[in-house]
Amino acid sequence: MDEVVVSNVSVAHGGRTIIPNISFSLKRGELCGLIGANGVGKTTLLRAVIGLETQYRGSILLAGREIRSLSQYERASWFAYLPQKRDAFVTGLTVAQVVESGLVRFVSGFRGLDTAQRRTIDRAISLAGIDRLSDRFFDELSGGEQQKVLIASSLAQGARYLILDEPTTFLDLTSAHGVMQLLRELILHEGVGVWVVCHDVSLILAYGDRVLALSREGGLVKGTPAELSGSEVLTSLYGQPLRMIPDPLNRFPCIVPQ
Amino acid sequence: MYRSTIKAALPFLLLSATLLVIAPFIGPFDAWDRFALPDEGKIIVFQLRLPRAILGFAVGGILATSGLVCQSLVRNPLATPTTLGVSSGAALGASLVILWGSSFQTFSAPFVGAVCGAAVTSVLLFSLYSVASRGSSAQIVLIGILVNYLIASVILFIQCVADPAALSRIVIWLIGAVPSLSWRYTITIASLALGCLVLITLRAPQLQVLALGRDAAESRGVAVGSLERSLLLTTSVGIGAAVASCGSIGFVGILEPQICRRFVGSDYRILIPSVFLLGGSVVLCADLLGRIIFAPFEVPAGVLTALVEIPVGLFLLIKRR
Repeated sequence: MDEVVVSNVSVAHGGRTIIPNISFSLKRGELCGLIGANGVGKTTLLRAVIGLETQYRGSILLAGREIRSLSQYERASWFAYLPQKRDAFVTGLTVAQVVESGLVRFVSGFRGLDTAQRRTIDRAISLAGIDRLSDRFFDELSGGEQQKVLIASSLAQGARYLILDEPTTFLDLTSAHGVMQLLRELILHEGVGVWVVCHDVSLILAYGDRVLALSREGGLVKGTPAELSGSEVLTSLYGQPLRMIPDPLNRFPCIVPQ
Repeated sequence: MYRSTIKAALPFLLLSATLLVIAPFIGPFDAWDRFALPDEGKIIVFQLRLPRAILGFAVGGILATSGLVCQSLVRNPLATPTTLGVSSGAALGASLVILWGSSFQTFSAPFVGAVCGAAVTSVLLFSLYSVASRGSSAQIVLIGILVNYLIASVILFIQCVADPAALSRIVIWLIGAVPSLSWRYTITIASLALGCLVLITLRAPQLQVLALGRDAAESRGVAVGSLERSLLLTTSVGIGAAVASCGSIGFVGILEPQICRRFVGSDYRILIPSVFLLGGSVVLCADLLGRIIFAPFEVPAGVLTALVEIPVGLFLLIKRR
């Protein structure tokens, strides 16, 4: 169906292997987490899967078609990407304009959005719960609000998958949970698939359906949060023993270095 | 939303229209009164000053718009055709053509030289940038500044070896002044500028989304590579036309985008034409001032553009919205 199948993908830059021969798949309707130490190649893997990194071996199939054979326009209906690094120069863009950017592939300088596309924008804004922000300037919002605006923009894009690279890194505790809850709601109501890189392992164990753990030595380990939280995988992931403290109110443990 | 931004752009339209209408009637001679022969007045107004006003306006417009394009492609407010060396590249191309004997009057030869210079510099710039793959936006500005210095030293070298006659032409060229060209050339340059404006405005939404970053824009379906190439080509032609006709008028392109953003916001479909209008007005103003202040001697417009614009720009930058 709308499955993304990654098989035997490896990426090397200048003779140095960054990602060693890994395989996995993504499905719609689930939240998949990607965890791993800094510099292990999470972002590179992400960019390869969505077609931004084209120097890889192996195959990445979207409903049976290799991603490299798709145009930028077609890829946009598959993946909406929120990069970690904001190489951005956002001055004077309003929230509505940022959300509208999700539909940029349909407009030109002399052709705006039609009524149906306007409705898509309004719907994305209300689904993300940012109605009251829509006339404000994007660069005046707090980090958490900005992240929700960008998610609304990705949603407006109408892609099958939302791909987020560390969406909670600069957010306070409540905002981080707010973003994860929003993602869960979007999966439930819109049926999108979500793939998210996150350094807060507890957060991903609490909200994820599946977790991919990437490490330089072990390659990619796949499992449900329940499978991973009990195993030694997490310990080997960061090269340091971890202590898991069971939380009586939550199914998943708090994780701290030992 | 869209309608209100159009309203915000009205002042720029009014300013431009006013300047274009009054410019031909301002100058050292009051063309209508002091000339005994009304025909002479007509010639001064319609054959000399009007084409000159239109030329200055078109050139200023395309330089300012190219500034906005550079800033948006590079995502850095310091990037302009001047700081990135594209204007110097065009000047170098034109200087080489002048040096090797083509006369100043037939401007199609320096025009080709200037367009080639601008295009070669743009291509050099972006290939250096992609070799230093995924560098930051500050890096491309740095590369641009280096390229600019490199070209500047080549131009200095040419000035050293040029004979006195060619030297003085090159110097005037480098300062930048708006000449009174024939109607035919004026219309050619003006339609090139308008063509560039239309082509750039056509890509307005894509350029606007690039503000969110290269990867983000690409994942939204913008073919960033081809956007960059087509816009660089368009601006190269525009800058080439500007430099070939008026020399390298400095300082236009860095402040206009900032000023216009204050008034019309960041809807590029409105912002791009506004920047064009403001840039045109600035060069036209500079040219008018240059004609008046030390009349009957003329100060080249390139000397005065910064003077016209910096007070306004500083005021707006210091006073937050």
